Amino acid sequence: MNIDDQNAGYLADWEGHPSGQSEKLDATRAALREPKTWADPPFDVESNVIASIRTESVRTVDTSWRAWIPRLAGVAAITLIAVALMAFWPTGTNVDLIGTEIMPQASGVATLDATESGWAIEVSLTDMPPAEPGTYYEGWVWSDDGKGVSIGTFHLRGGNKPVTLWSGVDVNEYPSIWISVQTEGAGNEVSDQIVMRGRFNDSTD
Amino acid sequence: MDSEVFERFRSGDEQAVKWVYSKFSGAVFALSLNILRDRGRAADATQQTFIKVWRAAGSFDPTRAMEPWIYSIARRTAIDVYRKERNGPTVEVVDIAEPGPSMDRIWEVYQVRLAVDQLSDDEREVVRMSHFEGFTHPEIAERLDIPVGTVKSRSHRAHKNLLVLLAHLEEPS
Repeated sequence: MNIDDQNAGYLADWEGHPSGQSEKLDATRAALREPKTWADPPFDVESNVIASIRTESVRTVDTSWRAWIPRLAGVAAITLIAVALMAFWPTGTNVDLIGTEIMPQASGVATLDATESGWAIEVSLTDMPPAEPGTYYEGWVWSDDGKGVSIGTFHLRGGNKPVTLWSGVDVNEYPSIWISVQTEGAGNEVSDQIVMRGRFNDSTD
Repeated sequence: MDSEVFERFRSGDEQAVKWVYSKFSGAVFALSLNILRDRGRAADATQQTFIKVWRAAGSFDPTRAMEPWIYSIARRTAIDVYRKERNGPTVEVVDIAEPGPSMDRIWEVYQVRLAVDQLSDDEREVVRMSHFEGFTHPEIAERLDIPVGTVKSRSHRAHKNLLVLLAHLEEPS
């Protein structure tokens, strides 16, 4: 006895439906027999979604200012910031970088050096693989109210040598540092793939 | 969806996100699995879909039905995953030019799974055991250790509910 015969008796409700619906009912029956219809996603998908949204909901990248602030004003501001920061941050401040759940084995240290041009952030990374073809790493500093500024990109395909990134914004105002995996051609926004995090004022010299 | 819940979802409220996920994750995963035919890639596509849904929530009119909107995001996301796996260009596509289920079929599976997930646990189990596992009413009664009459009434109620739920779903825009 095939499944349609088995079901025939208790599918009377459906069979009694007006003609013209039969094709839809056949499609429904076929879908109900299909294993893919009943499959459930792995349990970790929900927690990953929640974690990604939680992370992203505390920040909104505001890039519109880039189009409006004249370059000269930016340079002047950076210079002023750099000079001001030198009073707060001693040269050689170290920041611990910790791998996220995406790359838990990775670790690193970011060393901050105030210069007249901005902050030089030398990043030394351990157990971080080279970026896969078509992708690259990008460093970011983030403010507590959710504004992010890129501090440069790298790929590590030559090994885990220290990488120097640059911040032109005040690290007191942008105290978090993240490293993300970006896809080439996917735009300037930070991706969902945050692989390392650190916080300047959580670290000690 | 309740507008207050949607506002909470839009703001990233965890409980609201869980609510949306529990309502749509089965259907999104079934859709993704039909397109990608691989659980791991379908899981990736499902995860990406919900993040995109949340990101796009700001521009979504909550008075409209969410089902076709989430369907279109999920379908595009699964197709993008498929394209990337093949190292092809990421482009807006209308359909996949490969053998496999048609988009009509995928829409049907999505609708059916959404409807099934709205049944009570008891009704859902009877529908699953009869259609997917192919058991008769007496066999279901034996396995669930309940009277045959109870299985029949649950089956009757479940199929009636499915008809109503599927009748109210609109075609995707």
